[in-house]
Amino acid sequence: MAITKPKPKQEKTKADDFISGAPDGAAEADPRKPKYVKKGKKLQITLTIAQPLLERVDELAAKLGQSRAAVINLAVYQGLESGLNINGDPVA
Amino acid sequence: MIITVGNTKGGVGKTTLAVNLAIARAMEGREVWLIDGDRQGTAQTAISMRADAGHLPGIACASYPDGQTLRAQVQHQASKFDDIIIDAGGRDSTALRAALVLTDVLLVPFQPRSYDVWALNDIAALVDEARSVRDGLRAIAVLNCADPGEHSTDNIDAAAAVADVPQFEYMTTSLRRRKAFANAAGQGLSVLELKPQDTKASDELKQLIKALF
Repeated sequence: MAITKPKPKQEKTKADDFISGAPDGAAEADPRKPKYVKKGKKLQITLTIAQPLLERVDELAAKLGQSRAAVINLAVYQGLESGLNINGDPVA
Repeated sequence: MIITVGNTKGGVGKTTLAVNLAIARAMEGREVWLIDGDRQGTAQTAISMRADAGHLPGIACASYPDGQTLRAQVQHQASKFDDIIIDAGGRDSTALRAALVLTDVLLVPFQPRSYDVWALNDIAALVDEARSVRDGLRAIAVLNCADPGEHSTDNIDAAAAVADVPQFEYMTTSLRRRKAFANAAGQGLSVLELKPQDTKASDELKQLIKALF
């Protein structure tokens, strides 16, 4: 088998807790932590986007006199309201 | 035997002592592994200088500032060595804690100075914590850079202060403040290899080794 599975997470022992309790011990990410930062009434998120798509967003934003964020928000809202298509088939 | 030379306080002579111990044991024909658990990597640098200068015996030396790595590697390789000397940095760190989980003996050097004596309580707290997760940890405080004179008040006071920290045994053998220790370690040598030899320093190191092993 060429694909090896990742090492299963071992149960943490008291010794592990003791060691990682040092000031230089890395604090583990809390999986329940929400993936956003509050920014006033809105939430700030991280969005990764392809360059050509971003260029089109910026072009439209300039044409409408809106911000980049406003165009993205508008597109997301309209997409959610009117439904999305993948390969011409409605999915939502 | 695994010996950790450790203290949460810096500047007490941990690395100097660890390098001296490791080389002295290797000179007795033991297979020795020196582990540098300090991010500064001073012990590793000293041993590299030793290797570059071609001094024999060569010392196996690894640097593991990360506690979990240190623990895994020592568990993995302990059987290949007679003695493992771990130098664990001058602050509370994962490497120091990992060493405390594994080591047979914790050797805590301290100077006959107020700050050093105060700091004994910090490392004592860690010893307590380590003992709650494992059995059989021996913790020994050894006076390092002791003042000259058999009847130095500061030496006697510092030794007496250890009695207030019940986590530690006090080692009656002490090391004086001698340039030979630092000068030797700076070249990746033990005092036993220095030429001309400092016989007093050599005797102190031999006494310490006799008491430890």
